[in-house]
Amino acid sequence: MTIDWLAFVTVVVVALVGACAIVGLFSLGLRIGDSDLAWRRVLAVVLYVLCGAIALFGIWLIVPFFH
Amino acid sequence: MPDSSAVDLTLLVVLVIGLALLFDFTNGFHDTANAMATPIATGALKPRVAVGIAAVLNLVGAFLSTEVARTISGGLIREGESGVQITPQLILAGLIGAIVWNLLTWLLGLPSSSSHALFGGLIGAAIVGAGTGAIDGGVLVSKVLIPAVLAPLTAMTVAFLATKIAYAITKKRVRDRFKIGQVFTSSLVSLAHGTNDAQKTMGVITLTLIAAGFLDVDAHPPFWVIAACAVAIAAGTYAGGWRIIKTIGKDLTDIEPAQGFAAEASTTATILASSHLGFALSTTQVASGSVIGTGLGRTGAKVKWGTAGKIAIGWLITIPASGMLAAGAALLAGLGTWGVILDVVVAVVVIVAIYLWSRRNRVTHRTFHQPQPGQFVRPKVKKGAKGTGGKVSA
Repeated sequence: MTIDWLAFVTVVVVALVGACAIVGLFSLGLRIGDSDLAWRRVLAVVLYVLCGAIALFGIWLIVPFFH
Repeated sequence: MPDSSAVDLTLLVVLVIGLALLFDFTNGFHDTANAMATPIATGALKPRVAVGIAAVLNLVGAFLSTEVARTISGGLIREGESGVQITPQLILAGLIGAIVWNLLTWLLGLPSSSSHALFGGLIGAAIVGAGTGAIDGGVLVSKVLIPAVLAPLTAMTVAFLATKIAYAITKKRVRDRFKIGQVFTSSLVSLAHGTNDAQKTMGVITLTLIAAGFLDVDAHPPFWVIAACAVAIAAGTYAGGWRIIKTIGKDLTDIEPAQGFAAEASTTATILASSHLGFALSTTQVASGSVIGTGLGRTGAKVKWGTAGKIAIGWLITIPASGMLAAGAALLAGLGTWGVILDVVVAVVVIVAIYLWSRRNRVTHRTFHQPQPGQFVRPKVKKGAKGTGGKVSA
């Protein structure tokens, strides 16, 4: 019986960073975009695009064809 | 097994394929909740739309990933030269145990792992066929039991923190807009599910065909196998295990859009990390853990620990229960052709009985009252909330 604890800790850390990044970016986008100022709306869109990029990375990971 | 040579091989293979596809179907509707319970609960997606998206993504996912496993049990059963020969009879009995257990847990609304049901079934059948020596206890502990404890704990921690972040950053009046994000995160969970789970059934069918001599050793699954598995899991997903969706989305804790988004992001991140960094975790257990974590993460939200406890008991007994069902089926199958036919007849009767029993109190997509935009959040600007609702339902 062998448990790969290192692999488990890596999974926990990566999952934490990934989930917090996407939730943090989307939340910041909502917070900053909730305004009439044009620059804040643009910044919010940039944040959503970053979120989208992480989601695309997720799809890249899911589809075995890409790697 | 006595008399196994007397069983008509073609009949047996046909029955195994039929049961494998039925298992795939139950796998689909058992797991719709993993991705779609939270968007349905928050009203980010209408129930029928949600299961429709999940079905399509499972179908697509099944075609994307067709690299099937080399062993049917992932090393749980000592397969091959020095161990047990996994016969089609044994697979048949294992599948019957897994299907019946999946249906019983669905009737009770319990989100149990379909992989564990299948492993349990195969283990039960292997013990009847070859004794307890056939099971690799070390692998059982390290690949099934310990991950079953770690998966929900990991997801809980991740979702707890993600929820804290979401609530710390956003103000109340914008939180309804998390519903838009939910559409994407829940779709990712569905796609990941399709690439993982349809493969299991493809593996079962392909390995059965190889064992029966209809395919070469090391053969890839034929196209019809891939297509049949993809359609079966998508149909199951579309049927929607509404009882399980209700348990995860409504009965565990009240979920707001920000929580739904945080929970789905955590589920996606944990599953993708686990499947790419070499520590396999069950999707079902991760998804349930995320919902509990997000319930703990929002101030004022309550987690109903009674429901969580029932789910945990379901996880504990999944392997032994489906193992015992399969053991019974394996004893019958050992009697030869008539035993196998009797097995399938009994299984069909039980399945129909469970279905009829389920109609006594039906849970359908109509069960889900969808909160209108702005019900959880009282926005200061009413226009914004209405606009969000419009975009989401489009």
